[in-house]
Formats: sequence, C-alpha cells, structure tokens
Amino acid sequence: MMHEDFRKMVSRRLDRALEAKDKAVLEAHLAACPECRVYAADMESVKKGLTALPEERPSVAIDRFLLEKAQTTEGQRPASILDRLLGALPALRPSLAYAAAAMVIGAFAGGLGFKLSNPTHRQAVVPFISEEEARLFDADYPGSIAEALGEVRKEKL
Amino acid sequence: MDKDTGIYLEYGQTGNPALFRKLYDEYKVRVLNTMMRIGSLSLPEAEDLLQEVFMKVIQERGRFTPRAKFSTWLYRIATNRAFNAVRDRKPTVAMDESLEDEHAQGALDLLVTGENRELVKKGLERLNERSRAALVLREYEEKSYSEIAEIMECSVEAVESLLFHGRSRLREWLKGRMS
Repeated sequence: MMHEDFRKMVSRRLDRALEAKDKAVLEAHLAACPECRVYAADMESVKKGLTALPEERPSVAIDRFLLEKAQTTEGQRPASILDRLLGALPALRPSLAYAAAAMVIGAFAGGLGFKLSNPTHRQAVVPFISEEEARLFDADYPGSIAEALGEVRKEKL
Repeated sequence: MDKDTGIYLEYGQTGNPALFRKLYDEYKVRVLNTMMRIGSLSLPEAEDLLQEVFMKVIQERGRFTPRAKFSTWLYRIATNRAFNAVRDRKPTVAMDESLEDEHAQGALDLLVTGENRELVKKGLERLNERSRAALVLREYEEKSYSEIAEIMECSVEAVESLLFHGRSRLREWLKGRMS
C-alpha cells in the first residue's frame, strides 16, 4: 500500500465510513509513519475548521415573501407549464397583451376591408333604396338621383 | 417514507400553507448556508437563490413523485443553483493541484479561531466546485456518501474521491498560509 491509500483511509475515517479491519491497518501504519500522522492530525483540524464556519440566516423579508406565496397558492391548482413560462417572462406580459389586441384589431379591419372591396358583400352590408323608391323619387325630382339629392340639400338650406 | 417527504406529499394534495411552513422552517437556514458555501456567495446572493429554490418547492407541489427523499430533491435543486451561480461568475484562481508539500510540518490546530475561520472559508472558495459541494454536504450537512451521490448525481466512489482530494488540497492551501 502507498501513502495515498492510507490517506484515503484517513478521509473515510473522518466520515465514520472506515471498516473495522481497515481501521486496524490504518492505525498500525500511522504508528509507524510520522508524515501520515501529521496528515491525519491536519485532516482533523480541517474538519473542525469547516464545521466551525459561522451560520447565516435568511432575512425576515424572504421569509415573509415565501410564506405569502405559499398562502396565495392555497387551494389553487399547481402552476401549469404555461403559467411557469409566463411567470418566467414577466417583462413580456404587457407586450403579449398588446400583440393580442393588435391581432384582434387587424382581423376586424381586414374583414371589413374585404367586405367593402367585394360588391356582393357591399350589397349585403350597405342598404340601398329599392327600385320602387328610386322611381317615385325620380318622379318628384326629375334627373338622376344624385342631382335630386343635391336638390334636397339646396331646399334644406 | 421519511417524515419530510410525507409532509411535502400532503402539502401537494391539500395546499395547506402550514405544511410548507414546516418544511421551510426546517430547511431554510441549512439550504441558505449550503448554497453560500458551495457557490461562495454573499448573503444577498444566497437569499435570491433560496427564494428561487423554495418557489420551486411551492410550484412543484402536487407533481413531486417520491423517487428520492424530499431533502435529497431539495438539496439537488440548491446544489445545482449554486453551481450555476459559480459558472455565471468570472473564473477565480483555482487552487494549484500540484502544490502538495509532503514535508510541511505543524498541525493545523488553530482553524476554529475567528481569523482562521475566514482562512478556511477562503480555502474552501478556491477548491473546484464539485469538491467544495461534496465537502459542504458532508461536513456541514452530515450527508452520507450515498445521499451526496444522489444529490450530485454521481457514484459513491466519485464522492469519496471528491472528499479526499478536496480535503487534501484544502490542507495544502491552509498550510501554505499558516506556516
């Protein structure tokens, strides 16, 4: 066995993971090897040093935030994948709303434009006077209906 | 099934915030300090991550399947967040792996005093992130080799190796500064 093998045993012994038979082998080596003995003592100190590191606590604000979050989700279904995607992109939410509104307006304007540019739709949408009404109107105001409309305006003025 | 896994499953079914509070109170300090040490983070940085970790605990309730213990799952999330924080940061000078001085003498027996505690912290920061994580989970959290292996998604042998090399490098670094 090499020194490194014994040092690995030292590491396992620190973790209370060294088997009893290996423990005896290690102790025999340590009794005979001053370098590995120093290594083992140092390792004990390193372990003590690591476990003696000071402990921090989260601020009350973090506690409050998380406990409120847990409270507000009470009785609700867990967040869906879409919820989480939207939750991860809060900055995009307003722009998504604007995009949706623009799509609705665009669809409405497109549909209206189509109707106005298509004669069959124009007849269905814009009410015209019937042929009978036009004939009667023409009898009262000889000439074209357009001219008659001009007459009506003049009379009202 | 362990107690905390049972509590989390019940929280998933009922949404009762008192159950979340139980888990939060049990783990908040430990998870915060684990992430601070693994990621060499300041308290505000670690608090941000703590918030993310426990938001995930809230959001994932009802979806958790007990393939692993709740605590293992929680520490896996925390460890990965701390690793990401390390990767997002500018690289620091890593400890020289070939530095071992076989003839360094004098036991490091004063590491628990205030000034030297800071030195231990600095030494820990200079280890590679996986060795540091293994050491923190073992020394601070007293996790077993198999739990660390589950959290870090590696073999038990790899954990043993990370602990051995981590401790040895930390010792070398500390000896260089204390002698």
